[in-house]
Amino acid sequence: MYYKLKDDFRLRGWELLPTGVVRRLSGNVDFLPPDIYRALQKACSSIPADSALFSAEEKKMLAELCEAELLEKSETPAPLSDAQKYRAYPNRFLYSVHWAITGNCNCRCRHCYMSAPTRTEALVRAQAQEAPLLRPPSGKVNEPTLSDCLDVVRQMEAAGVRTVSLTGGEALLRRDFFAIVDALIDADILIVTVMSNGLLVNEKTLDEFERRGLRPEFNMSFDGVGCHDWLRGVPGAEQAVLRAFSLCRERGFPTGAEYCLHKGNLSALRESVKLLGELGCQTLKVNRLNVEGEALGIADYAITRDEEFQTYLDYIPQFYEDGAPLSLMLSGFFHCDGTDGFGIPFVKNEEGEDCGDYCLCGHARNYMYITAEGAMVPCIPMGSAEGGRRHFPNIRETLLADALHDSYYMSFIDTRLRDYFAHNPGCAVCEYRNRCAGGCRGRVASVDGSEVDLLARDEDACAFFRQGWYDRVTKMMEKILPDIR
Amino acid sequence: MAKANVGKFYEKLAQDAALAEKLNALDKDFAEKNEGSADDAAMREKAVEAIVIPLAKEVGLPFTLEELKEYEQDRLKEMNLSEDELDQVAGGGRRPSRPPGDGINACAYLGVGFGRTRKNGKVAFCLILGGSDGPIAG
Repeated sequence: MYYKLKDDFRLRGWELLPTGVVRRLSGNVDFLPPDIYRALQKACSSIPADSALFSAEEKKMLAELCEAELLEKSETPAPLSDAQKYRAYPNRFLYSVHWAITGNCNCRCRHCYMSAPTRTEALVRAQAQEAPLLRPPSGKVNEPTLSDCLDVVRQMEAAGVRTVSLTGGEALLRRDFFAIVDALIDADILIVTVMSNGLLVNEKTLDEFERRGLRPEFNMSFDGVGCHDWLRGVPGAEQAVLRAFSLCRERGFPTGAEYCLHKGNLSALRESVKLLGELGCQTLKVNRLNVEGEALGIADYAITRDEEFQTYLDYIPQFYEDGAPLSLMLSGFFHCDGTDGFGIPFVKNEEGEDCGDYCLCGHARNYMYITAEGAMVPCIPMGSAEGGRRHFPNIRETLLADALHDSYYMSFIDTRLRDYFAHNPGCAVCEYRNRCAGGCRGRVASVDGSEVDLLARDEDACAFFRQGWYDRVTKMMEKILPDIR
Repeated sequence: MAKANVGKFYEKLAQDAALAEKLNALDKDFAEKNEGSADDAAMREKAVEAIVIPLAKEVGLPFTLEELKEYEQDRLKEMNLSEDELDQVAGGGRRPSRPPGDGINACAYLGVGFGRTRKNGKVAFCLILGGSDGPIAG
């Protein structure tokens, strides 16, 4: 009798995390204690299960791995396939990448931070051979070539990235979109999300995904019943995205949505959440309009932080009255994943925790955003702001694996809370220091412009705690969900 | 130098099914001829001396019992799993609970605490729950 590593699993290791087991084309990654991992490696060497080369402890561990359905017994020696063999990546672990595969878009959103060009403009320019990379009029972003994209895929594969979310511009606009999808599949990188405006989420698109055995979430912007077209700048966009939500539900593709809150759609929030719930949308994130890029032209539609928070406070009881129709995230103010509890994303830790060693942002530590221009930044807001972008490397000049090894990028995403407190003495003595933990780096980057101090405090998070919003929402929730502490 | 032969012997076992089957047969034969628990440390060493070491020598990869032990210790030392790194990639400031003494599950299982939420049996993906609470543009 021998052990066999089940076909879907592969042995992988990263700098500081050398004992990984990943499941093929999935987001599953396990890191095993070294003694268990060593037993697993030996078991994968066709050593007979009853061999004296295994200690009693190792045999027990291997029995556990069989129970965990990582290993199975085999009557014949079962060596690892080439794909399963141990592979050591030269860099620190990065779980996932949000990747903007184009800066082009078929919407003309009034708040677009990219100032994305229309596809028509881009094609005209390409036909005129003015710009080989379809550089838009603003010159801010462009569409990488297929060759560029395949190189990014190779770099992600070489760094051991496990999952990817595709975004743009409008990712589905690319005629070679499924060539990129196929390259990702070949590289064993799972596409978990396609962020889209929904205009091209149609039967053909879903057929192509289904044919490849993929069922990513379509995360689509929806900016309010009766308000969507205005913000998107395209007549019929609302009808099209609602049709896309319905289609995804019919076809069994999960959906999520983003809602950009501004003066014109505040009153549509409740109706919109209900409608999205009815359409099978599973998650909704709401954030207020951020005045940058194209949004500078509609700055008078922006709402203040207080207006945003008050809107949430007013809306939350209605959300429960409507039966909590989906998983809802209201900025950092509130999160609900059903009727049996709630969370406050602004609250990062318990106040009594010893948090000094915690990463400043757990999200940034595990996810990278690669812009259409190739900038590797810790999150989408940092990619949208020059103040965030200029600090970080470009994948066309710096290998992804290098960026994840002894670099400024790595140092930044591995910044610890104690470093933040040393940088912000006022936060260090604040009564909410651990709960707030400095707030969100992306918000700091997107609000403070090109001269941004990326370690500055997040004023939204600060106001949430120090101006009483935390107390207000928790007291209100005690009334709404009295059984929840 | 013979210590390196241990690794080469493992590699050869993985590549040579006949050798693995021969080792299996020798193991069975030893178990039948010797009484006592195979999990007993002394019996195990006796089996290694009687089976593994001669077999390794036979295939041109000789090593001693001590070298075998040293090789295994070296492999464990090489696996420098950083608890701190594990803590950070398992959710940053949001640490998933790690039940003590829960066997292999005591290690971080990524994919839980990685921004995935489940509703109605389907997995939805959220950028924020992994630790960030930032605005998502677009």
